[in-house]
Amino acid sequence: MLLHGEQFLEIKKYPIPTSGTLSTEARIIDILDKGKAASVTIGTTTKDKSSGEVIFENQATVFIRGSGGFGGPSKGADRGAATAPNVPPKRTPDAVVEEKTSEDQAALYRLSGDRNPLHIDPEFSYANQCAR
Amino acid sequence: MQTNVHANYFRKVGGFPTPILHGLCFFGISGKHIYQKYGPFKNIKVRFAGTVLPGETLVTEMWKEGNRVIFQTKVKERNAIAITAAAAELLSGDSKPAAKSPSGGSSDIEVPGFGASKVFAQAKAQLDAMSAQDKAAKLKKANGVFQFDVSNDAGKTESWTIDAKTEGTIKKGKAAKADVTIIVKDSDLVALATGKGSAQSLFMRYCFEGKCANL
Repeated sequence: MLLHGEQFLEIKKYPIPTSGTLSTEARIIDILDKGKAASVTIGTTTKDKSSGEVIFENQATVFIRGSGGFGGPSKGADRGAATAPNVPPKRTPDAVVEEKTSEDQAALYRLSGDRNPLHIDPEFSYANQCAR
Repeated sequence: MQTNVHANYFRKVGGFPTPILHGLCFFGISGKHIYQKYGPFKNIKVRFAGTVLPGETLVTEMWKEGNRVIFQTKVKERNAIAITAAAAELLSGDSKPAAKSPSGGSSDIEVPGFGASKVFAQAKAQLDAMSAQDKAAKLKKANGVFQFDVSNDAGKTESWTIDAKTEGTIKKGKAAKADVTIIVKDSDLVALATGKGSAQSLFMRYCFEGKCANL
């Protein structure tokens, strides 16, 4: 089973264009051995197809359960803001925002194109929880 | 990972499991909360530390450290962590004023008691971040100097000027020669700018398309 572990997004172009054709290229940044699981970090660069200008950079780290133990390195390189520990200061937060999600939030988010059945199918999500 | 979270979750739903929310979905909602409090950011990083069920309440706690906002997101109903080790780097931080603009940082624009001043400051940050080419195109489209005379509930009036004609600047104070002068209540301007989610883009769009008179 695959779990989304971390996400880093850099917005390279402000304001973000509201129209255009985007082209995204992906590359593997790191494959780490976390014992039982493997951790894979994928980098993607999204460009405006016509101008070639970079709009977004993303780095996504996923955990793949049961795929570790292959003898790879367990720690990756420092990638600046993408790997910063970001420990909160001891003081009370400077700002807090509270928002209730809606019951149909996952169904709505599905429209973004992420069709993983984990987020929509009760039987599938139940099977996944039980399998661990 | 997060076995305890799932155990709680099973108790809560009483054996009727519900599909979990996409990590990128509550990542986006947390990002929106940072935007609401601190304006646009150039990058954002999160660690997904727990699950969120659709319908649960997200609480984003933020600490501003210089140009960065360190944050974490919790699920209110279960007092459980959903996002940790997270931060966003702001587009215009007050830790480094005048970094991008010779006319000074946003502190020159913001005035206590005027919510609208934050809107102008954010619009300026976005304008400053544009490439010269984009800016020139916008100026050509708008081609006007807009002066806003904003009055607040305390009965005070302050002015801001958006020069979308020659300089491409947003600053506090009256225009030397305004093409359009808009007289507006502080609360109305803030409501307009924040009412549709994307605060400064709506505001910018109005101004740069020359529709400020519709305010």
